[in-house]
Amino acid sequence: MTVQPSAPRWQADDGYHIDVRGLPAPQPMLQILALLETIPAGAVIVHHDREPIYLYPELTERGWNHELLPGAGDEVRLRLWRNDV
Amino acid sequence: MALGATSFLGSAAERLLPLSVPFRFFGAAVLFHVAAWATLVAGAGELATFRGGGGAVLAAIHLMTLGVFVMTAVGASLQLLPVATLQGFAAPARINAIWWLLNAGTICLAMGMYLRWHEIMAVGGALLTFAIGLYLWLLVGNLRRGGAMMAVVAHGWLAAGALIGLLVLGLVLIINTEHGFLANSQRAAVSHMLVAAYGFMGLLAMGFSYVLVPMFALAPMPSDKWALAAMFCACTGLALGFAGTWFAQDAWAALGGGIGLIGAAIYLSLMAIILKQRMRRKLGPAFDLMRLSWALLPLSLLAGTAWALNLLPDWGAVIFGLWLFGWILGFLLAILQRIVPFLASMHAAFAVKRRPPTVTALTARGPLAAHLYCHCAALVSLSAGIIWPIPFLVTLGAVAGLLGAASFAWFFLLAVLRYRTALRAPSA
Repeated sequence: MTVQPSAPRWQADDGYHIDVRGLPAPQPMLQILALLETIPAGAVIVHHDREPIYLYPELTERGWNHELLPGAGDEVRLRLWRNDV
Repeated sequence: MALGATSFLGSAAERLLPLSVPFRFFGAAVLFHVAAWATLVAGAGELATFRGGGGAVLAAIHLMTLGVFVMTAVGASLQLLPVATLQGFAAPARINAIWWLLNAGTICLAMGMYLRWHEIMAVGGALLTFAIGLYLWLLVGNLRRGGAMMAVVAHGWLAAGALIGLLVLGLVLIINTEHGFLANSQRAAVSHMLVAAYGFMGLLAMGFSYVLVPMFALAPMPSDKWALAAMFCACTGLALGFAGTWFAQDAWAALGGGIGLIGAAIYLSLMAIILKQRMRRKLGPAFDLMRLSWALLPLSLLAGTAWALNLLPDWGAVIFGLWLFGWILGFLLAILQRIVPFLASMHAAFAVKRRPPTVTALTARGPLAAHLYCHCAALVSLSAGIIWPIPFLVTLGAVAGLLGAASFAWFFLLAVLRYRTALRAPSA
């Protein structure tokens, strides 16, 4: 895979964070999936500017769950976690 | 999964039609696919020498183009354009009307062509005019409001223009069958085919490739600059090909084919770059079919150019049409076999309060493998049967195509049944 990490990533108490706001499609999906491939365990919080409906089948295929969290302003925030966690 | 997702559905729902909407179009396309091959089996004896006029071959062509190509294109664009334009289609009544009119119009037109019954053809033409008019209303309204993905939207605009052109030419040809006012109806029919195949379907296929291929391969989108360059070559080539065919200027048509080849080379290079940059390691059988369809695009342009220059024997016209339809049919079926389980899994993510079915679980690989073999066998057998010519091989090719279409219909039915089973399963 040749997707270069271009979205801001950081780690906090509630898990890994990635901010894909402002990226053109399909970069948000690629950036999120690239992050999921690199982390060993734990939750991922995604900061997005719209609900990433086309990401959901890819998450299901990889054994990840998702839930929407309250976001600030127009932000759509998702929490992703693995089935076995 | 997706705890609390329903409270956020408002924003997503604007861009997400109910699954029954695209699936109604895809289901009809799958059935017309079977009907088209079955009709070709009935008219296999006429295919090698087909030069236009009514009968089974013309009916089979329109079952394929209107029933499969346009039906799939309408269903897919209603679902996917909102992704490109970030604008929703909130028009369920109009979408329902389009589906009914498109189905009824295609059946009437094909029946009229098969039976050489002008009045039924005219009714079909009228119904299709309403269907396409309504679709254009939705399409243009969406494209006007949309700003994202410039190359995709530009392809959408040009495809909409080509759709108007093919509709007008189609109506002229229907009226001409009764009144015979065209100086050369064969050239008019080929012009209609060029606008329909390279114009509407070709531009829509190219435009959506820049969204769908990256989405399914998990790769970055190509640059708008090169996508627009490919589009410019395709449109210039089509304009020259159309003018050359209509005005009997074969050199213009051949030049159009050459420029179209440059456009195809740019487009295929962009597809190759997307696949090279992909994250998904195993692309699956859909991409085998897609690669085959991509190979047929330049082959169709080469055959068309050679035919325009009178470099091919009598079979040149039919081979050109076969490879041209082979490109579009292969591309659409490859997209359908990826998008049907993908959309079902995505909708299940909203509909169930537990883990939704995966794309893999919704994909019946056996019927798809059978379809791929039959589709390839049909193309090879039909090509050989037309070139030599051997009527038995043409019939064999049509039967292989029919078996492939039945396998594809089986795949679609299984995907729907598995989706429904997943919805009914009790929560864990």
